[in-house]
Formats: sequence, structure tokens, C-alpha cells
Amino acid sequence: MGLGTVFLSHYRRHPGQLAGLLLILVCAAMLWSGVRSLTAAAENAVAESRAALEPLLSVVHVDGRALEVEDFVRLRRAGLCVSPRLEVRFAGSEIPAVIGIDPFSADCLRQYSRQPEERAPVASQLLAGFDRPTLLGSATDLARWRQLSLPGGGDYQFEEFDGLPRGQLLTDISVAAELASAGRSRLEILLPAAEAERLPLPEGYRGQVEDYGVEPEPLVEAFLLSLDALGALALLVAALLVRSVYRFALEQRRRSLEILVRLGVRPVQLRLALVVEVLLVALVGGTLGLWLGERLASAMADGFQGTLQGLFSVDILARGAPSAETWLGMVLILALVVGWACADLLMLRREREGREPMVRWRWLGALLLVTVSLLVLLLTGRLWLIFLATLGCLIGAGLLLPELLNRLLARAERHCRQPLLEWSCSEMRALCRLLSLPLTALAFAIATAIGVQAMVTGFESTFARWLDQRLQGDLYLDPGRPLDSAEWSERLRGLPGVTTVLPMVRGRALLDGLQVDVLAIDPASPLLRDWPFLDAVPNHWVALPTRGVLINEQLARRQSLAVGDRIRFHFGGASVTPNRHSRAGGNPESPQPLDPRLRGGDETRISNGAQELHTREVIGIYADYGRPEGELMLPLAIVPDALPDRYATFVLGVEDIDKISWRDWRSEYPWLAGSRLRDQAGLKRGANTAFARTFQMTHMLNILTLALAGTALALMGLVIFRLRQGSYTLLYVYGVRRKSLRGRLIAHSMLVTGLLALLATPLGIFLGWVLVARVNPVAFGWALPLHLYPGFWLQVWLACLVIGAFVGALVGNPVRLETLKNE
Amino acid sequence: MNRPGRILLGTASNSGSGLCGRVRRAHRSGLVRVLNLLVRTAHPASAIYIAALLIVLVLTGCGRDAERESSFRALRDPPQGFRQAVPGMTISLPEDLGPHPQYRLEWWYLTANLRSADDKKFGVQWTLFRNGLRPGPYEEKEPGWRRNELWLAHAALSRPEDHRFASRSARGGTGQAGVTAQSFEAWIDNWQLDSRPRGVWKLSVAAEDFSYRLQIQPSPIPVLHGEHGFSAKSASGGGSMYFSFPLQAIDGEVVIDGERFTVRGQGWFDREWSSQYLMADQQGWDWMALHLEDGRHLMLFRVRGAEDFYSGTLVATDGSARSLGADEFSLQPVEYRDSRLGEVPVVWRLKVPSAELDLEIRSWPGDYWNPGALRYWEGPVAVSGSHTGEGYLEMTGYGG
Repeated sequence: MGLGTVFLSHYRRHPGQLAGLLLILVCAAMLWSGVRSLTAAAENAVAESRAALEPLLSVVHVDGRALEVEDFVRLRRAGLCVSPRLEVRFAGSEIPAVIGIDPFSADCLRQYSRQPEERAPVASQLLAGFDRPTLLGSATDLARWRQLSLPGGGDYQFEEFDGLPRGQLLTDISVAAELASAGRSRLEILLPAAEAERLPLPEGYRGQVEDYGVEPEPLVEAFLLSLDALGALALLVAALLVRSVYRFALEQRRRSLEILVRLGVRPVQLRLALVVEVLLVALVGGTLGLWLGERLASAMADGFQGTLQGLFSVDILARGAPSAETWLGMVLILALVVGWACADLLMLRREREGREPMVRWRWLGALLLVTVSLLVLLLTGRLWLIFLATLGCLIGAGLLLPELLNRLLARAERHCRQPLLEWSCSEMRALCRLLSLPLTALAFAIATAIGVQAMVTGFESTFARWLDQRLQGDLYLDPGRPLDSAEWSERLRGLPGVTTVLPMVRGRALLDGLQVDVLAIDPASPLLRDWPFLDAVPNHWVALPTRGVLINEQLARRQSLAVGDRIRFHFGGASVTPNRHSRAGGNPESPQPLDPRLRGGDETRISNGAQELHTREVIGIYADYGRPEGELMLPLAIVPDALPDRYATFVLGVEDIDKISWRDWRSEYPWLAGSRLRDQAGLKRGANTAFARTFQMTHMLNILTLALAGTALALMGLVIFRLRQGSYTLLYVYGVRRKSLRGRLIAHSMLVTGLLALLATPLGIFLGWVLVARVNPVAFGWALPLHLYPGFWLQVWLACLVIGAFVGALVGNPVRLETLKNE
Repeated sequence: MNRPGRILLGTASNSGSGLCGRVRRAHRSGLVRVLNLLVRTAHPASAIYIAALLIVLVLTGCGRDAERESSFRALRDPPQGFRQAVPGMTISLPEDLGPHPQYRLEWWYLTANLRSADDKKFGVQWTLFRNGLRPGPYEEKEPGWRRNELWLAHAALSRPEDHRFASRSARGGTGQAGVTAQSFEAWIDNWQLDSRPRGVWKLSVAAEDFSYRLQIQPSPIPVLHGEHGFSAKSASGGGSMYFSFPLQAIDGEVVIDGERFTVRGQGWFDREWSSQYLMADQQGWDWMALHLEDGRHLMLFRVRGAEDFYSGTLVATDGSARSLGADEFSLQPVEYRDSRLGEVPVVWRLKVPSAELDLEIRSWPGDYWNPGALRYWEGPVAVSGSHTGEGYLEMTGYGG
């Protein structure tokens, strides 16, 4: 009989052990790889948007003439790093537009010169096919182009290229120029905003903000890091469980291994066989888990993509099949986990003598770990360090918890008068010792559940309250197109039952080179009276029209702004070449870098033609949950008509929402066609759905981890209780009734899990605090108050009791007389 | 002058190894396609393929052996629709200062040895290359986006132990880069060499970490190399049209990391065009232009192949030039330097018995490699021996 067969025979005798082991590994691999698959895809998407997004100016003639090749040459010869873009659109919306760029000057634009790993920049791609007209685009767009081939369309080479917007083909500008006669063409000359700061534009040109270049990556990265952390936690839980399985198997395995040694098998051979076993188990678990993880990721992809789009405007999310490296990585991680789990067995070590000093050291180590981690957690502002410190706290607490439980029970044991109770206590202590690892895993799962729930529910209730205060109007109108807000306000006032109309104009501005959103309102509107503020000067609504600006919490945190600080900003529609000021007005202030924090004075405007630089005082900071962008709230009167991305929505106050037929307005008034009208309740529902989706992932992972830990504990408990059958049977022999013993067993099991849940609750609260007070401000820019939810704790405790009861019930009858055979 | 590979020497100044790797992956198929085409057929379009390949290599500046080798192959290819320089052709000025779209490759090449008021030494190189993708002359008169030709420029500023490099590229047809012969002007973006208004050339270049502005007085008489301007590159034929102007830098300013230096000195300007340069067995060349204290100038080169090919021109103080055949001088490397890209000969022994010259030509200390697909050494030298002087040394085909 070969060594392999001997090794296999162990699992043939204990198929449950193998099944449990594989189940744990598969679950862990599934969670980890599923999360990684999503976050990796999102990281790529972020990298791509980062490459594509930088603040860009489009250079135009001051007199509005169309641009020509000569203008490009003139700007280049003036030393400006400009690059042309020729857009050709064809009649018929289904024909993709052709965007021609100049690969020689594309180095100036990050969008075309930089790409994430594993892909050639667009510019090089175009140069590679420079000799022959090449069109780059998505497979769909290329197919459509081929189908609808234009007359005189020429002989093109097609290359698939991911990451281009839908309905666009990219090509060399000479190819686009050849196609220009077949459609409408428009030449743009693009310039990075930073370049315009360096050199003035020649006379007769001005820069218009083309793209503000949102830089969402720190926020998305934070979000993805949070998910990764949850995935890692699942892996950690799995590692503990797997180790516990091996620890348990240790005794059984050691005996057979020692027999093999006595039979002349060399220890090296044994170790080798064990290593092979570890690798095999990891291979099977990893492969299965990876496959399941992919299924999990596809199931979650839509929601995840929705979240990313909603929160961070990251929309390209291409996921491929897992690569060989991912698979190998997964197997290696699992091999490590399993390897650690059976390290003792691998070394063929005996259980160490003198457990007491060891335990004391473990206590001390754990306490030290918790202290250091707590200190780091309180002092650091880096997200990964926050996660690492939290992990440190968790591990420290995990080491302490079963021991703490053990000590509690020991104390109870000493105080017990009844012998049976005393026995129960010692029996539970034995359980704590034997099941310490799965219990730690369960404690982690419980803590995570409580922590994440505190964060999510806290957010939901804070958000709901905030929404209640902020949504003072009865009806909300989205016109569905950009329009003249003043004219529409008049029309809306004429609608039956409408008492107040508040136009809310959104747009964008630049604050110290940073793109921010603008929300322009009428400060006199009664619909704003109850708006909540985190901090504000008295009478802020009165101060707003003349000298003040209100900012959201995100902006305040990011720029370290407080009420009373002064900020300088300009709306993007105007030129943003600071040199224009110095040349035209000789203003000494403007060419200097803008410091967002200048104190003192009323609002100042440095004006030159279309350009206006505003300086205003921060008079209030408001909470603005659910999105990372900074926002300025300004009076409508100072916002120019040419505000970039200007878009107006309207809030309507009505006499009695139930008495007017607002739902029919769109059919009754043709000018309202195409708009969207929602009442307050509908809007709240929409907002809540958006957030539910955001936290769906977290919830799901959370529940899965808890289920994993519960199942593993049940499996382990089943085996462990069988080990303890001897002592129960002994009591039966001494005269305790079978039924009572069975009840006791269930009670022991429930008490252990229940007590553990109780002890893990503070850990959960701590985790909740980390999430709302440490992770959120770094990740999203806003903090949340920490709320406690004893109702949910009760549910978790109950769940733990049920797990305990379930394990106890599964064991069934603990009295087996044959266990006494050897006594 | 004989620097046939120069057109290949461009780089994108910002190319890093990561970028190179990616580009390589992306273009491997293109490369294979080009090579297959060259082997299988004499397709008329293959010149365009070669040119396209060149662009990629040139712009991405990835120096892999295979790519470098194929770049050389491309250089050695027949003209394919372009005109070829042959003996008997002559030079006419000022027309030949302008571009020659019927030829595939040409360049305007300036080097200068400069000194500041406090005797600090500087070396300056500025080169404009034109690479024809399709044989001209081009029909279109209006500026527009085309794929007929492309322009590249290299700028370098050298000091002892310091060498800085920048490059630019542009398509032809727009006017972003070009050369005019009447009232000579050569430019790409805001880098330019301009002879207006009074025949004094003004060179102006600004890169990220250096810039220079020079006022240059070219010698009144051009130096025609070889046979009335046809300069052979090998014993078996093949060559280019080639003439030069010795230069006096009468006034100038060099800015390096924000520090300004007023400079003066002397230099050398090359003008060369052809469509096929190297023979199959030729691997690289060593070229130098020297200015001696007695007012004479020397241009010499060696093309290394199965049999090395030597040629040179000696310019007398009165500006008259005399071609030097291989039997009239000896040029030997005597010392090597272990540079960043391998061993290169940095000290040379030159003997021209008929002119009583026995010179040692020694490169400044440092590393003067210009990066690129065909990286090349372009650095200032000091001359000692029977005469003292200064000049520039260019070497290609060395290093791994």
C-alpha cells in the first residue's frame, strides 16, 4: 500500500472532515476571488478614466471663427503643447462618429498618450498603422461602420480597441480629414489647462474649459480597498477555520503518522506527502472557489457597476475570464492558508508541555497588539493603515476572546454549588479550548455583522433625516434639457396650485485648480428655511447673496476649510488663462497661485471680459451625503448664463399635493413634455434605492461571512461534541437522565455561542466606529454619527443561540455506552 | 558627410521602459508583417511600410536588438519610387537648402562648441530630419492633415559629464515643421533656425531642462563633399548629396536648469539628402567635424562594414575645400570608454601627412548617448597633437 493511499485513507475514514475542509476553502476562495475580480476590474476602469481625465482647454478664436490647420500651427509655433482633434459626424445617428487625432502631438494630452498597463497608448497604436488608414473602436462600432460603409469610404484597416466611448471611432487626423466631406466636421485644438498657466495664448485666442478632469481615483480606491478588506477578512476567517480543522485532525493523524514512521517511512517522505496533500486540497478548493467566485462576481457586477457609476462616474467595467495568474495566486494563497493550518502536523510536533506560560504570553502579546493597533488607528489618516490597524485589533481581540470566555467560565465554575453545574462549566471550558479557532472566526463574523450594520443603518437613518430636512418642496421637476431657468420659473408659477418655485441651477467651477460642482439657488426662497447645516454663521441665508458661499462637507474636509475662511473660484465658461489678467488689467494678484484660504473682506470680483474671479467667505458647511464631489452653493444672481454644464431643475411648493393633478401636467402642458416630475415621496424612494444598492455588496459579503463561520462552527461542533460523548455517558452511568443530558448539551452549545456573541458585540461596536469615524471621512469625505442598534444585536445574539442550538441538536444523543469500553 | 542612419535616431523624450514594452507588444505583429512583406515581394508599398515601421521605432525610442537590426535593414533598402543620389549630381544654392520631397531621407544638422565668459565649455546639437513616406513632389498646396512625410528634431546640450536631450516630431503638410530655401528657415514648433533678416542665422531651442539661443554666422562659401557634393558611402556605390557650412557662433545664450550663460564659439552645419544609404554589410559609422586653431576645418568619417570605408574633407583657412581619399589619412581608435551602453572608442589618432596633421581627438569626459531606437553618441571632443582644436564626434552601431 503506497503512502498516498495511507494518506487518502484518513479522509476515507473521515469524509466529513474533507468535505468541511473543502467547503471552507471553496467558500473563502469564492468570496475572495469574487471580490477581487470586481475590484480589479474597477481598478482598471479607474486607471482608464484617470488617463482620460485631465483639465483640458479648448482653444477658440475670440471672434468665434472656426479653427483651421493654420491655427494649430500658429499655436504650436508659439510653443504651446496643443493637439488637434477633428470630429466628423455623419447624417444618421447610427453611424459612429470619427474622431481624428494627431499622434505626433498627442503626447500633450494624457488621454491619448497614457494608458493603463498591458495596452499601447492610442497614439502609438495609430502610428503603427500610419501608412494605412486605420480605425480604432469597439467591436460593435466597427461592425456598424462596416455595415453602413460610406460612399467612397476607402480601404480601412480595423482594429478593436476597448475603452473608447460608444459610437466613436478613433483614427489619425488625416483619415478623419479625408472623411470630412462626407459629414459634418469640427476641428478642436486642445490644450492641458496646466499648459495655459505656463504660457499665454497668442492674441486673438482664448481657452474654454473643455473638460474639468474629475479625479475620482482616491475615492474609488478607498471604496475598493474597503471591499478588498472585507474579502481579506473572509480569507482570515477561513484560515482560522481551516487551521481548526487541522488542529482537530492532528491527534488522529499523528497516531497514524507515527505508525508510519515506526514502519520505516522517513519523516522527509511524510512531510513531502503532507505538502502534496496541502497543495492538492488548495488546488481543488482554489479552482472550485475561483469558478464560483466568477459566478458571484457576475451576479454582483450590475449592482457594483451601478454603485461605481452613481458614486464615482466610472463607467467602463470590462471583466474578462480569470487569468492563469489569478488562479495560481488563489491556489498559492490557499496553500499558504492550509500550510499554516497544518504547520504543526508538518513539523510532526508534539503538543507542547507547559501550556500555562504560553497562554500568558499569548495574553500579553494580544494586549500589546491591541494597544499598538489602537494607537495607530487613532493617529493615522491613511486608509490602508486604518484597515491594517483594525485587523490588528481584530486579531488581538480574537486571541483574547475565547480565553476571556474560558476565564469567565472558570470563575463561574468556582462559584458553582451544584456539582452538575460545575461540570457544565468545565465542559463549556473544554469546548472553548477545543473550539477556540472556530469561535474566534465566529466572533469576527459577529463583530463584522454588527459593525457594518451600524454603519449602514446609521447612514440610512442620518440620510433619511437629512433628506427630510432638505426636501422641503412638494414637487421636483427635471426639465430633461438645458433651458432658461428664469423663463421657466415664470411659467411654473402660473401652474394651478403652485405657490413657490425654487430654481436650482447646477454647473461647475474651478476652485484652486480643483473642479467643484456649483449649486445656485435663490436664498430668499422659503423652501430653504429648514436646510440643516453642520456649521454656519447666524443669518447665513441673508449673508449668502452679498458675501458668502456655502460649501459641502466633502469640500470642507478636502480643502481644510472652516466657516470664516475665504475661497477664490471662477466659473469655467470664461477663459482660465491667468496671464490674461496681468496683461490686460495689470492686476498683481491674479497670476499668483490661488490660495483658497484668504481671510477678511467682502466678496471681490476680479473682472476682465468673460473672466470673473470671485472671492467669498465660507458662511456655512452642509452635509451632502452619498457623493464624493465638492460643491459650492451660491446665489443664483451671480452665476453666469455660460456656466459650464449649466442645468436647471425646479422645486415647487404647492397648496395641497393631494388636491392637484400634477401627474397630468405633462400631458396638459406641451412645454412640460419630456420633463420628469416627482413628488417628495418618490424622490426619497429613489434616493434610498440608490443607497441600498451601494451597500448591497457589503451586506451580501457580511451575510456570507457569517454563514460561513456559522456553518464551519456547526461542522466542528458536531465533531467536537462527539469527542465529549465520553463524559456525558459517564454522567448517564452515574444516573443523570439521558433527556436531561441532551438538554444540557444543547444548553452548553447555546451558552458558548451566546456568550461569545455577547463578548463580540463590543468588538462590533468598535468596528462600526472605525467605519463611520475613520474610514468614511477618508473614503467618501463625510463622517457619520455613530448609532447603536441593540435591536440588531438581539437578532445577532439570537442567531448565535440558534447556531448553538442547531449544533447541539445535530449531535443528538450524547450518550454512547461504547465510549466507555476503554475506561 | 556620411551619417546615413541619422534619420532613425529619433526618440520620444518621455519614453520609459514600460511604454516601450507595451509598444513592443502592440507592434510585434506589424513588425512581422513588414518583414514578411520585404522578404516575399517587392511590393511598391513596402517603402511605406518601412517608413511606418521607422516612425514607430523612432517615436517610441525602444532600443531592442531586433528592432535596431530591422531599422538598419530598412535603411539599406532600395529607394522604391524615391530618387537616389548618384555621382554626377550637383548642388545648387540656395535651392538645396530647402527640402527634397523626391528623396526619402534628409537632414539639417548643426553642432557647435561654445564657451562662456568664465570659460565654461558647452556643446550644442540641433537636427531636423525629414522622412518621406511617399515620394514627392506633393500636389496639395493648401496646408492640411496628410500622411506624406514626417519631421523629427533632436536637440542636445552637453557639458563635461552632463548631456541633455529632447526631441520633437510632426507630420508634414500642416506647416508645423518645414524648411524654406529662399531666406533660409528650418523649424518644428517653436524650435527654429532662421536666417532672416540679414543672413545671420538665429537658432532657438527650448526644452524642459535646457534652452539655447544662438546667433550664427555661416562661412560665405559652402563646403561640397566628395564629388561636387555627391558623397560616396561605400566602394561599391551608394551615397548621398552632402554639403556643409563651417560656422561662427558670434553671440548666444545657454540656459541650463535656470542658470544663464552668455556663450560664443564655432560650429558645423551639415545638409544631406538621399534615399538609400547603407550597404548590406555595413553596421555603423564614426564621424567627426573638427575646427583647428589655425582656422582650418576637417570632416572625416569611417563606415564600418566588411571593408571599412573612409572619406573626408579638409577646409583651408580661405574656405576652399579638398576631399581626402582613404589613402590620404589614417584614423584609428586608441582608447575606449566603458559607457552606459557599452564600450565606445573615445580617443582617436588622426594623421593627414599631406596637411602635416598628427592629431589626438579626445571626447569630453561623460556619456553622450542620444536615446532612441538607434541610439547614437553625439558629443564634443578636444583636439591636441600637432595642432589643437575642438569639434564633435558621432558614433553609431556600438553598444548592446
